[in-house]
Amino acid sequence: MPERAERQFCAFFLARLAHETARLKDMPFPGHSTGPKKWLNLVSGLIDTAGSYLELAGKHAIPESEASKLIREAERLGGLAYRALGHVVGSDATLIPHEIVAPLQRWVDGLKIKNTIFFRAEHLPNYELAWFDLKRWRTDLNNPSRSLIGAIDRINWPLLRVTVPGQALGMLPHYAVVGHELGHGVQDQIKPDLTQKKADLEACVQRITVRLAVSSFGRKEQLELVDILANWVDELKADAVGHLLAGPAFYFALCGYLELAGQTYGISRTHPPSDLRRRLLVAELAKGSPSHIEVFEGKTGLRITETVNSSHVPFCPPPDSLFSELKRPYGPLVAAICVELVPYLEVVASIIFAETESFVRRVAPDLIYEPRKLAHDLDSHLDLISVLVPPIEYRDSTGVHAAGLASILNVGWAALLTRLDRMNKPRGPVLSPVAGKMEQLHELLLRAVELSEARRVWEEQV
Amino acid sequence: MNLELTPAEDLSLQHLLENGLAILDQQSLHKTRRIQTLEGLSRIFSEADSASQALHAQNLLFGVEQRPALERFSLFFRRLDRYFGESLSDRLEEASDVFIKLKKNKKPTKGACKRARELIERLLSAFNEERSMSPLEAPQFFNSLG
Repeated sequence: MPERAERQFCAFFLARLAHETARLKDMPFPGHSTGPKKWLNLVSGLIDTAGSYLELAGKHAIPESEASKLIREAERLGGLAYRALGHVVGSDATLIPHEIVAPLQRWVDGLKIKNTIFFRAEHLPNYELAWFDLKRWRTDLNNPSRSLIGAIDRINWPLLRVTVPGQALGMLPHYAVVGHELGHGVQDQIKPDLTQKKADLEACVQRITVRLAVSSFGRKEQLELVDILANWVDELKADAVGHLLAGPAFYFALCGYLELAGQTYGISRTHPPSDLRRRLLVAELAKGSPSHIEVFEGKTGLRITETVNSSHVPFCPPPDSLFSELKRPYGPLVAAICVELVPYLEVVASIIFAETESFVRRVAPDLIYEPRKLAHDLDSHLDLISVLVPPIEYRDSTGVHAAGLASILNVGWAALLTRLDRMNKPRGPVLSPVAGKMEQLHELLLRAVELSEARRVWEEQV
Repeated sequence: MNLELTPAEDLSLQHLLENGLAILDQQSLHKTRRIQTLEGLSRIFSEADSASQALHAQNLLFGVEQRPALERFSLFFRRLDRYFGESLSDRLEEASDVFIKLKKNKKPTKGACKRARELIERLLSAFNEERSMSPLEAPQFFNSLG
């Protein structure tokens, strides 16, 4: 067949992509994380497969229509590889504090998340967990290259990518939100039995039909409800995991994120309203005797409430007003479902939180951050951090041990919210004295994370 | 969940469906490819069918319990409801049965194969339409309108 310009340009595009991929493979990734390199090997595999399609398209025996199809598919694979390169942007050591990766990986390992994972930062107030599942490409794609098969085999699918904000919002205590994202990594293993509240769901459906003024709830409506409900339940599971891993630090970090992420109601197809999430988390923090709330208030004087660290995040208006407001961006069906799911979710939330706790107690009991640990951490470190002593280790009846990430995050939040006025003004030029103190605290906590991790590695090896 | 890769963009899914058509047309396919294709298609149609049945039984919690089945059914429903309407559930069940039979080296009826073929062709056509209709990136403006 004659050479096609499209084929030649695609070959050039693929060669450029291969060069760019090779360059990225040489970059250092924080914490010696293997995730980004495994992903880049996948990109190489896609490029090689696209190249083999082009080669086949250039053979004389191939009919014109078949050659055209192969070139189009090579272009699509190249386009996918190009987009895939974008997924690793921000995962190198320039944007992610290298100190934090190993302790976060301990959370990952502790939760028995076996998936290949990597962290990346972007210049947005955003935390998210992205799932990539291309495992089926090994068997379903025609003629995958050897390199693609090898790359797919070396990844534990789905591959997870945790996104955190870049440096400006990447203050260490905010990393507690990663607990929520890791919750999404285990959400499918948490199976709350919601059938015990079947009547409440039926009542919810009834309210939706009344609000929509329809007589029946058809498949389109059912599917929409099923989808939104599943999303919201997953969000509560993830909140519960974040709460269990980091206690008040998770709550403060989530509130800080909600405050900076646009001060919205937070309610959508994917997320329940932020005021409900805050209310449910405060209820969890109030459980036990003493509770996290009692301990925190006793040691710092600050009462944890639904508006702490997020006073500009609005509460949802009453249901009828909320329905009117949501109808504009989402249409009446999604608006009605979102409004009427709120009371149902409130009813089943305790089941979801309890089942999540049961799961974490089963797989990772040592990761649960209990109120007594909070009390011990604040007693040991809060006054010292005010005079710039980082929380690296703690003493108990069995000796001296490395401080865990949750301890450092909670001490960090307590200092941030209640001790900044006691810290000395930093030396050198600063934008503002408070910002300077926060920067100093961030550096101190990073040092604590790094040194406690070094101590932990040492403990594990002797 | 597979973010940022829509079913219409998923080349492996397209190949799986095209290979399914080749099998239904009794074209020769490499033995391993044939086994993998039948395995993949019977899984997809079975999952979609189980979700369809759960919806029929008014089980609104199945999305919480079986997320992949929900996504699989959505894949078909969002694209094929306009063609098949109420009969989509029966079509999915029948297609699932066709590929399970073929996997077991049994012979489904010609009529069932024809209807499974139509289902796949409609889906591939919907994917093609989605790709053709996807807009180019629009220019972005960050101007103050004040």
